[in-house]
Order: sequence, then structure tokens, then C-alpha cells
Amino acid sequence: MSRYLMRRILMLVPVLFGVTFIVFALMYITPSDPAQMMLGPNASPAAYKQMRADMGLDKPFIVQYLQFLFGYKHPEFGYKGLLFGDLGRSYISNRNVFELILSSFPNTLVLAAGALFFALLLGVPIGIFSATRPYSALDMIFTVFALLGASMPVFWAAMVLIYTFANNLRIFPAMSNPGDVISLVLPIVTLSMYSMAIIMRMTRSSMLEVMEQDYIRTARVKGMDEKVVIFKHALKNALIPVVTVAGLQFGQLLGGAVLTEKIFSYPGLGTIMVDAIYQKDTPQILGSVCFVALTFTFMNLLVDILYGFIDPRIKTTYTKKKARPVAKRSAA
Amino acid sequence: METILALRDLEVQYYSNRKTIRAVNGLSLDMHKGKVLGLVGETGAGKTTLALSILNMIRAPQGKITAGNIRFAGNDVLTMNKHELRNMRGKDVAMIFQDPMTALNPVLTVGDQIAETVLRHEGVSKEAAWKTAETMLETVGIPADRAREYPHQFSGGMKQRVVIALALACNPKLLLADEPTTALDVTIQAQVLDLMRKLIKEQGTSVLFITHSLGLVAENCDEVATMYAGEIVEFGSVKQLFGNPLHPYTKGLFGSLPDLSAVSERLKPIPGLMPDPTNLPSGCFFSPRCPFATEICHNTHPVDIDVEGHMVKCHLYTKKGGKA
Amino acid sequence: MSNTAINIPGGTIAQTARESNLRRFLRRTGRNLGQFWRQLSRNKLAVVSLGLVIVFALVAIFADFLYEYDFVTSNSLENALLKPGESGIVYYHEEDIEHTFILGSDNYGRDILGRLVHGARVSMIIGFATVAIALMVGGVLGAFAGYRGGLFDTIIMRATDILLSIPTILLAIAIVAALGNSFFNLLVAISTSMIPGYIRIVRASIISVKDQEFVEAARCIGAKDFRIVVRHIFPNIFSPIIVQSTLNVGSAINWAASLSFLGLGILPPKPEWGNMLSEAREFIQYAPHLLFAPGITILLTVLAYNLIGDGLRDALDPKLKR
Ligand SMILES: Nc1ncnc2c1ncn2[C@@H]1O[C@H](COP(=O)(O)OP(=O)(O)OP(=O)(O)O)[C@@H](O)[C@H]1O
Ligand SMILES: [Mg+2]
Repeated sequence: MSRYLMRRILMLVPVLFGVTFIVFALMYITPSDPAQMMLGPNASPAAYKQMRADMGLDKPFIVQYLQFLFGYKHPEFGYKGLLFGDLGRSYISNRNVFELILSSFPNTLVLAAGALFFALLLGVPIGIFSATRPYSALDMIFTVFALLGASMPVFWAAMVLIYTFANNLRIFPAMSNPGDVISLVLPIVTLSMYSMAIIMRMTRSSMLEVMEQDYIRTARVKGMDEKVVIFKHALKNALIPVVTVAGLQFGQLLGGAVLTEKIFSYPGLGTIMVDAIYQKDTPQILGSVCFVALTFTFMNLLVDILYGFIDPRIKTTYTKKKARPVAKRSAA
Repeated sequence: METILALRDLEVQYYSNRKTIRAVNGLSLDMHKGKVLGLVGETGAGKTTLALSILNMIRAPQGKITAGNIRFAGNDVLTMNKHELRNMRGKDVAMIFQDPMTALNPVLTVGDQIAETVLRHEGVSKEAAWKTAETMLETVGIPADRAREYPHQFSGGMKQRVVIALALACNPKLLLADEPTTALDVTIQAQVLDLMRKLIKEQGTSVLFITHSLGLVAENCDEVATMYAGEIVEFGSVKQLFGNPLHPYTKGLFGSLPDLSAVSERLKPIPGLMPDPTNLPSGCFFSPRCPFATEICHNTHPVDIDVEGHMVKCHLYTKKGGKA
Repeated sequence: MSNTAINIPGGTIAQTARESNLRRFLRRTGRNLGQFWRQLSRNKLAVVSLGLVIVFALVAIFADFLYEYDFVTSNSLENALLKPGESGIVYYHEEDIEHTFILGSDNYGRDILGRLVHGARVSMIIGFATVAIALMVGGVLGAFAGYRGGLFDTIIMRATDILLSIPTILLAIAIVAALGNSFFNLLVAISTSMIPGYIRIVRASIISVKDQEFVEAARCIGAKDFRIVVRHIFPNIFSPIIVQSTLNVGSAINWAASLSFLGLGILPPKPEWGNMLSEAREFIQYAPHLLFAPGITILLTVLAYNLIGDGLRDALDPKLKR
């Protein structure tokens, strides 16, 4: 198990380097001039040149990238580098980027976890229900609802919810913050719609496929009750892909809460990221995008591990320390 | 001989691609207590379908039992309610599926899969059910400590034994064994068959033994039925069928069988193909392939003819004094 | 697909009787299409959606005949925030004309329906162009990776992993932010986000097909790699790709709207569904049609593509034939 894990974690390394490289390259070509931003419009050419040197912006691309990873020594602008958990300071607020990320990430986590929970809470049971009555009227209705949820632009859904429940019915506030549970309802519902649709459809199709399998027929032939057939024999198999999808969705929710957070003015990582992009605050963008990619990748790893726990075919390959002696066991 | 299972005029259809597949067509068959009935026939003859029908396991919308009746130990299977059916399945009538590789649930331990059946039918405690499962596994030659393992940890032959243990766990009165050894290589095949024979003898189980292998029929069965296009075309004791096959199809199958005891001897290929089950010929279903077919064979469907306790469905024997 | 079966004899005869083979291929394709259409047409939702998509496409193509582009992009402040159906006097082409705002007007007094019509053109172009780009790039890379294997495959797959570990919307945002706001950059951003998906589909299908007997057989009789890909592999990856592409057109439209909503992508006064909603934000309480008209338009469009994709999946799935 631990060796498998080690291998998986080692495989993360190139991926993470790739991610940081891509994001860094994107920021490098961004048409913005941080030195100008720091100095204001009226700086002299000499001061400007000095500032560029101080910020390390005069170095070639690859040197700047290595500095981003391994640190950059300067009394004012220096930082220890990504590998040492220091991403430098925001050009705008001058706050430590990593601290800012760590302070806003839990808020995003709350939102994403709430949304995933809500999506699973409704998505899985409805998916099972639909699969047990495929092509029935109710199944059709759920299908259409799922597709509606998957087709609705998130930002529009948020606006409609605000228009209805905040502006007109005045049940929930239009702005939300992590301390106030009531205010979290609308963003969580908004955020969960897409995932719920995906989970519902996945549960349904996975369940339908499993119900066709020979071992389900075996269970029925054994005289098992239909409830046992569905919930023990079929569901356990059907949930395997659902867990994967849910895990991937969670990753998407963490990074994709951007629009929802922005609309509900929620102080999460997404809002910080979008604001940083608007303000061309390079360290902030780099830091937060890399952070999200990192959590996303770790989520996927976690899903894989979880996968192993519910799928014995994989679990035994983890736990197999030594190959079991393949004794020839012949019939008595 | 006490009849344990009686099928009368059974018709089963499948529906796919807007077509109706007539898998079983007016089939009648009796099975006797404690006897092993061999069922042979080409692929697609409807053997598996027949076995599933006995358990009333043909499910809408894929298929339906459209006519006939099935009596198991005097009870009409087709009019049983869900509850009675479930009590019968696995307990009174058990089935071994053709393909052991897919018949076991991959996410449940084999012990659990056997124990839950026992638990469902025998009204014993969990521990007792588990104990039974372990005993069953040992009976089929699998150490009890492997009960907590998952199907993928077993080889094909061992899975097949697990499936047999599963089917026999509740001492069924009738066992439907659908090619229980096809997936195995010859040596394992012999072992598994020995094992089954032993268990069956001990428990006095009646068996419907579906196979393609005439050798296995000769070795293991008391009676034989030949199936063609969803019908039983010939039925009799092993001695009758092997000694004096009547139906041209059976004759073709037996062809020039050199040695009845050769386990690996397969059915002989007969020129031509089984008729398309969505579009069966008029008259005798075998007539397009039959070397003896006459006018009447192409036009009129034959009826069962009893030739001294040896049933055959063929026009050739109508005039020879047999009666319908 | 049934093509797989016919190709087995096809391979051996191919050398001698190419034409007859081609004709047979065409006939079979035609028959398959007919059968496929019959499957699809049984799915009422998909058919309705197809109708809707066609109507939207026509609207997009003939947008200029319905509303002049200049008309929907020029302000007319005295007509601001009219309710649907109200009329006003618009000064346009140096004369005052009476105009009925069928779906009302926005805060600059521009005709909402007109902007939706021209927005449809933008959305449709984005939807199809991004899918075409992503399909070409991803398809070629995936096909080579799957067919050749080895180092190239490893590199491509690692690159895919990397792209996939950045949440889609974030990647698109970062790309537009980096390259700057423009129509072309929006296309690049959205198609880049789709490429990994295509690479995976095509690669997986190729790998699952390439070791099957009929391909081995074709290789044995000396068919060239390219020919094998076109003749034997293409028919097999056709259905997952067509389904994925249909769904992707919907997603692309959705993403384009989202990015434009964030102010990354197509900016006002150019008409685009997402930026219409962005501009509407402050006024929705007073003029809800600003919220509902573009939103429902996006929803219906994306939904239609999703329903068609779903219908196609069912129609192309041999297991579901009934
Ligand atoms: N679920 C199903 N849906 C549609 N048709 C089916 C289904 N199951 C079986 N059939 C068809 O019914 C006919 C009989 O099938 P069956 O499986 O009973 O044959 P069999 O005698 O068991 O063959 P084999 O020796 O290959 O196991 C075949 O034509 C088969 O194609
Ligand atoms: Mg069978």
C-alpha cells in the first residue's frame, strides 16, 4: 500500500512541475508591467530599470522560473520560492501570497464540500431510482432536470437565485460569507447543480450497466430480495465510477467556484484569483492557480486511494506484500 | 418414477431491435426425481433460456414466457408470486451458470456470497451461515480460509467450484447445470464432474445437465433430450438415444461417434445453420437441413411420437405405428 | 459498430477489387446512416433539440438580415430599459425611426432581441470553431500516441495529465488573461481546455481497437498504417467522438459566456450572451427581462446540444438497440 502510494506521489512531481511551468509561462507572456505598476506612471527610466532589476524581471524566462521555484534573494522583493512554501508578496496589497491563500482556502473548501455533499445527497438516490425504472415518466423528468442542471450557466443560475430568493422573496442574503450558514445556502445550491446532474447521470448509467451483469442474475437466481440485489449487489459495484466522478467534481468545485464566489462576493480563493487576474497581480495569480492545481491533483490521488478501498480488485493489489504462494489446490 | 418438473408447451420470446426472437417453441419435458437429464443441442438452441424459464427468470423487457406452464414439485411456477418465487430460487431450484468468470460478484467475498444465500433460505444465524459457506467451500476443495477472498483472487477452475458450492449450499431439489464445465480444461473438468456427481448422489438432487459434450452425457446422465430451435426433438434414456437415435438431427449429432467414453468428444457439426429464431421455417424446423425431408416436413410441423418410451418429433416415424 | 465485421473480408479483397469495396463501403455507410437516423428520430427530445439548433443556426447565419449590426451596438439612451414589447423612437442612419423592442432594451437602449440574434452568431462560431480546433489537435495527438505508443505516448499523456490538473474554467481564465481579450484568444483558451479530453478518447479507442483481430489481419496482409487508421480504426472511434463533440459545442458556448461574463473574452458593446448578462447585473431588479432573455437563450442552446449528445449516444450505442 505504502509503496503504491509512494509511486503515486512521485508521479505527481512531474505533473506539478508541468503545472507551475504552464502557469508561469502564461503569466510571463501576459502583457503587464509590474515594475511600472509599482512605480506609478511618472517614474524616471533609471528608476524603472532599477525596479525591474530589483524585482528580477530583467532576467531571462528560465531564470525567472527557477527563481519562482527556488527563491530570489533581495532585501525587499525576495522570497524563498515555491518549493519552500513562499510565493512572494502581492504587487497590489503587499501581503504574503501564501498566507492570503491559506486564509481564503478554507472558505472555498466549505463551499465546495457543501456543494458536493448536497450533490451526492440528491444525485445518488435519484440516480438509483431512475435506474430501477429506466425510461419511465419519472426517469424522463429526472433526466431532463439533470440536463437542465448541467446546461445552466453557473453565473446565470446564481443571478436567478439571487433575483428570486434574495431580492424578491428575501429569504436568503445576496452576499454570503463563511460565518453565516444561511448565507451559504444559495452559493452551495448554485455550485452543486452541475455536479448533481453529473452524479445523477453517472449513478443511473453505472447502475443500469451493473444491473445487466451476470452476477446480478446470479443474485436473483439465489432468491435474494430485490432490495438486497439493488443495494448490496448492484450498488456496491455501481458506486465505483460514481466515487471517481464525485472526486473529480470536488476538484473542479474547488477551482471552479470562481464564478459563484465572485457573484456572491464570497471571500474565497476564487474571488482572490479573479481579482488578481483583473489587477494583473502576477505573484497572486501564480500562487493561487498553482495551489488550486495542487489540491486538485491531490484530490485525484485521494480518489484513487478511496477507489482502492471500495474496489477489492484494486485493494488486493495494494496490500499484496509478497505474492501469495500459489499452492496447487486440487479437488480432494 | 416421480416427476419433479413438468414443462408443457412452453414458449419463450425475446425482443430486441423490434424483432421477436422465438427462443423456445412449445416445449414439453418431464424431469424425474433423482435423475440426471442431459440436454444437448447446438449453440442458440435455447438451452440457457429453458433453464432460466424454469426459475421464471426471463425478465421484461428483454423477454417473456408467452405460453405454457411449468410445474415444479406440483406447484405452478408461472403463477407464483414474487415471494414464493424467491423462496424457490436458490433453495429448491439452483442454477450453475455457463460462465463462472462473470457469475460471481466482484466486490463481495466468495464466503459472503454463499453465506447470504444460506442466510436467506435456511433461517440460521449469521455465524452458522458462514460456517456452512466454509464447509461448502471445503467440500468443493477450496480451503475454508479463502472464504474471505474476492472472486478475482481465484482461478477460473476455482471460481467454477465456488459457483457449484453456491448452487449446492441449500441442498436444492433440482439443479440446473448450464455447461458447468465448459470453461475448464479437461483435467479440472473431470475433477469438477466427479465432485458434482458425488454431491448429487449424496443429496439426491435431480439435475438438468446442459452440455455440448456427448461424452459427458454418456458418462453422467440417465436420460437425454435433444434440443433444436427451441424444441425437444428427441427424448429417451441414455441407452435408447445412444443405441438407437431416431431423429435425423440426433443422428447427425451422434454421427460417427468413435468412442462414447471419450470425454472431449463434442457434438458433430451438421451441414447448414440453425434457423433464424426471428423467422422460423414453416413445417419442421429441421427440414431445411434434413437429408430425409419430404413434402410434409416442409409444410406441417411434426408432433411428438412415442416409440416405446422413446419420444421423437419427426414425420419419419408417423407411419411406423407410433401414435401422436 | 457493424463496420468492424464487414471489414474482415474487405481487407483481403481490397487489393483486387477496390472499387467494389468502396461502393460497398458507401452503401453500408448509407444504410448505417439511415438506421442511425431511425434510432435518433425515436428520441423526441433529441429531434426537438435538433430543430432548435437548426433554427438558431439559421438565425446566426442570417443575423444581418434580421438586425443590422450597427443598430444593435449603438446606444440610444432615451430608450434605455424598455420593457418587452414597448416601442420607442430611435435615431438611426440620421433619421428618427419608430422601433418596437420585442424583448425590451438594455441600459444603453439597445435592442435585446437584436443583440441576442447577433450573439447567436458569436456563440455558434465559438462553439463550432473551438470543437474543430480541439478535435483536430487532440485527435491527431491522441491517435499518434495511441497508435505508436512508446515515448511519444508517455510525453503526450503526461502533458494531458498536466492540463487536466488545472480546473477547466481556471485554465481558460488564465489563458485569456495571459493572451489578452480577443475573439481569437477566447477560441484558443476554450479549445485548449478541450484538447485533453479528445486526446484521451481517441487514444483509448485506438488502443482498444488496434490489437483486435481485424486490424491485425489487415496488418498481416500488408495494409499501410495510414490506411489502417482510416479504414479500420476511424469507423470505431467515430461514435464516441461525435457524442463528445456535440456535448462540447454546448460546453464551449457555456464557457464563452462565462468568460465574457467575467470580462474576459468578448467585451461590450459587441453583443455576446455572457456580457449581456454581465451588463445586466445592476438592473435586473428593475428590468428582469435583462436577466431572463439572455439566460434562457444560453440555457436552451446548451440544453439542446446536451440532449442531442445524449440522443446520439443512445442511438450509436449498439447495446441499446431495441
Ligand atoms: N437476453 C436476450 N435477448 C435477446 N435474445 C436472446 C437473449 N438471450 C438469448 N437470446 C437468443 O435466444 C436464443 C437462444 O439462446 P440461448 O442462450 O438460450 O441458447 P443456448 O442454447 O444456451 O446457446 P449456448 O449453447 O451458446 O449457450 C438465441 O438465438 C439467442 O440469440
Ligand atoms: Mg447457453
